[in-house]
Amino acid sequence: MKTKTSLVSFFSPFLLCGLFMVITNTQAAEPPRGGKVQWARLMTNYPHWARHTETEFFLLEYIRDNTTLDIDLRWAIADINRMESLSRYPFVYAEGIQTVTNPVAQANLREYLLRGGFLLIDACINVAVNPEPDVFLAGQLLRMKEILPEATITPIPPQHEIFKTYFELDRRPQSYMNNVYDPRWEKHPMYAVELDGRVVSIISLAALKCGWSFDVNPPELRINSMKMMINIYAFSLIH
Amino acid sequence: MRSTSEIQWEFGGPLTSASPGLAWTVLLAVLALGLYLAYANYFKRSGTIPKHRRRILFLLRAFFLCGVVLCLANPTRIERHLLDAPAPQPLAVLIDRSASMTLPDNRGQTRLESASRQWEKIRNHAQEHFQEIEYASFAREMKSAGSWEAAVSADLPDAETMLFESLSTLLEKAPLGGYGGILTVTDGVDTSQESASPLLGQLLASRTPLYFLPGTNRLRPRALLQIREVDLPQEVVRQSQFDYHAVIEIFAETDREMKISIKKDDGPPFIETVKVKAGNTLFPWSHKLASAEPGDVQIEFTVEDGERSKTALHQVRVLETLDSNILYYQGALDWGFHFMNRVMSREPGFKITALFNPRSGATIRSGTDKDDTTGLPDRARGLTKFQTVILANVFISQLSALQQQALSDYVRDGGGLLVILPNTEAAIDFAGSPLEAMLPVVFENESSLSRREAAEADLLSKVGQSQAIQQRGPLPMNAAALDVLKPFKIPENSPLSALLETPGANASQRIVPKFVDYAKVQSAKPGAEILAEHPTERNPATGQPRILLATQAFGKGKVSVLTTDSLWRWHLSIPSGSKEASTFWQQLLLWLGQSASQEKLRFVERTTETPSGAISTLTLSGSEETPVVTATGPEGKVAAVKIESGETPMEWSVQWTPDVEGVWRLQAEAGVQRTADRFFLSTDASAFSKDDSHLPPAMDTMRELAAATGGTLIQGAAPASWSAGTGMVEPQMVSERRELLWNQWWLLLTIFGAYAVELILRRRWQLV
Repeated sequence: MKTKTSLVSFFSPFLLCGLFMVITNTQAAEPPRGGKVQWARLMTNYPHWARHTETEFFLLEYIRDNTTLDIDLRWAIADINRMESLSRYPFVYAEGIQTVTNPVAQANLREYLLRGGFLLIDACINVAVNPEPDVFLAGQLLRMKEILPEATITPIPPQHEIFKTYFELDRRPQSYMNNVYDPRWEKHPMYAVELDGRVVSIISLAALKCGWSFDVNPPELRINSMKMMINIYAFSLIH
Repeated sequence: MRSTSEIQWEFGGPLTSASPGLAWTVLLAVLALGLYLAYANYFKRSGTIPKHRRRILFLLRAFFLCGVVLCLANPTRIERHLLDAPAPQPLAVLIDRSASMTLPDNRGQTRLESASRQWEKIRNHAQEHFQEIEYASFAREMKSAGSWEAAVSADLPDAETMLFESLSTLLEKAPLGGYGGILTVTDGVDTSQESASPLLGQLLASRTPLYFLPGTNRLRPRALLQIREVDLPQEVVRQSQFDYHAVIEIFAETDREMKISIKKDDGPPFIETVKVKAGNTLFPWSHKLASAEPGDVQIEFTVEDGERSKTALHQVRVLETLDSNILYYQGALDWGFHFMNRVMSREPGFKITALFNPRSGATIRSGTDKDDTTGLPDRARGLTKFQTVILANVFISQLSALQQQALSDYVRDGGGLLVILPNTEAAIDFAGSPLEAMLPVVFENESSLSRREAAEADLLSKVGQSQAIQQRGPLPMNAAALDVLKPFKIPENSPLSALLETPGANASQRIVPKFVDYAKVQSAKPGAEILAEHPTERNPATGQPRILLATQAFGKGKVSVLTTDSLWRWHLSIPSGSKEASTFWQQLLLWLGQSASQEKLRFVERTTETPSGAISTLTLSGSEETPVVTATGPEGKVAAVKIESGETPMEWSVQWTPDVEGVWRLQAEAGVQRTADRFFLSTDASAFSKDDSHLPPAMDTMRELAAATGGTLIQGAAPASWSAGTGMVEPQMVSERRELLWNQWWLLLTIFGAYAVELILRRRWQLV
């Protein structure tokens, strides 16, 4: 009995502290936010379309913490084969569209872009997925030309406003497999797909997703990958 | 401005909604339990530890427990900055001393005498409610008076009744803090031919309710037919539709038919016959006209009642494109601009300057127009180049007091303002702000919004985030069911109904915007027009459908509030070839900004008639340089025109005297390709002036105007609101700062230090 009382007495301050934390759980005020929106992955027949979606949360949390966008912390699926699925999301992230040869899927993606949707294609750096960056790029360009033959595709210069739309970035962040520098990836800028003078899609070989998903070197690359992602998002949103 | 400071116990967590008594009971019970356990621990156990040491340990524990309980009670210092309680707002009594009020009927009784008797019945109520009453009288102009008797006996009788202008002057001369109300003793006749809209905007802006005490008698009116005002655009875009609005005033001794006809150039007229009952009728009439190819189009509008006929002529310029400069100012990030800009950039004539204020200290420019605007101007002058300003996802804290004032001045001078609210939180944020005064809706305030509703939303958000953290999986594929697009419900009498009709199509093919989310607002303000409603949801407090789009005139301009999301989901749901979204925005923005022609030369007045032989004064707006105006009458007769500076730098006063009856054309020119054209019918001055024409009191006009401002037409008894205590205005809170008093490092250190000392002493005295 004595021991029990002693234990209770000893722990009672901690219980009170717990109660204290519950009662005074005064959350920091949320910043004003815009309308609700979801982050979506483009679901295609590409086997890697959902690669590392388990780390999408890091990016979405970073977006919520650093912008006034009311973005859901759960990622969504934009099915390329269903127009009504695509048309729910103003911005769609894709691992690649090189396998999109189905006419219905191509027509849907074209219609989505014509309606004002925005597509970001971001390569995965893993050699098991993309052993050759040039091949990856050629695959994207080929399909994009099939889907939007009237579009122009041009490299994005380093002084482009996309690098300072929201965060001021000195240079484009670039991830490498196992943090080993590889000039084959580094040489590629980002590419803008323009339709009627408006950027409707960006093709990136910067492997931004790999940047925010893993422990990368230098460590600030992780944050910079997310900042670049926000810049692309904000750029598409204000144009 | 004054400050108040008070300390409150703000219990948190599960004790939030508990009464202070219950919360304290719970906390004291916890404290008592803790003290008992400490007591039992130190005094009811055997051992060799001396008593004084036990006391020390117990006191340390008691200090710690008391400290924690004190922190749990969450003492908070609240500092409030309040605008000094305004002086009691007096009642202004404005007495009509024009001829129509002083003409005796067959019993020898005047309208003024009848009103005086009614005033005596309600005088005490007014005195009790307002405490102070100021008097003034008016006919051609307003004059202050010391008492009712002085105002009634003022030597003012005049053939003119400048009711609206006098009310406007009275408002301008209001004491600091404004009037608690204006009681107008009149028969409602206004001979100025002015529209009541600017006055209504002024009353709404100053939040002054207008009461009417009608003067009536048995005067037999003379017959009258008049085109009171006409409203149509000066310029329209080719192959589009535009509205012709007219207000016809007729007094007929017997029931009769009135024939209304309108025709374009030499085309076939559209004729409509309407039945008019005996008595005075103010008849609004509108007709949709189609523009053809670019050029000038002459429009002839005629009304006949079998005995008399009146005609109004107009010239409308049809242009290839209609220039419209839009300023899109966005606060929090949102997709609305991206989609609106995409469709509007294809429309020639529309130029959009976009400013984004996504975070503190950052402004991003975008849009189709490359002008030099770098931030939301804090002077109305910086906004005059825009026909419409859109505030999207802006939180009131993002706008300075100067910017809010600039927006207010801009709309008052004729600009269009569209406020897009992303969610209820943003709407609540607007409540009580200076900008709210000009908006057509009453926002929820935090106390009126259900706390349960807010708590549920907060909980759902936390649950969602928590699930995301734990699962890191995608949204379920059927989550889209929550995002179902809902159509706007557009009332048939809404101006939006006509705006969204596709030319040549039937009503069922009307464009219907769709939305997913919407912000809840309390209600529409008196005088506001609801353009679109929620298809299913209603405000439980009022039973009325939730408002999605509402508008109201403010000064010379218009203000609308769109309470839905920014419609980007609707844009994405429409086939790429569809013009629905662009037509919607184009029509809405042109309609909103149609009065914003500060940079377009135009005659402000909507009248079409002017008395022959009398000096006629018009306002010409839209030029900084002195315009050249010519007045040409029948058979090429030219009248001298005198031009003087107007009330604002862009306005000019134009005086001319049509010395013969017939159609006169006024043409103004200023700068290159800036012209304005107006036709006036000059008629016999004695027939024109109607203050002494024995018209019956304009009861409907008075009733509508009073209701629009929150006032009433007094008939018999004093308004109910006058019985609800005094008209004292509560002090207005400007800011509030909350300081958690327990959240001090020294206090927390002392409390936990006491516990740490207790633990150390226990160890040292070998009491484990």
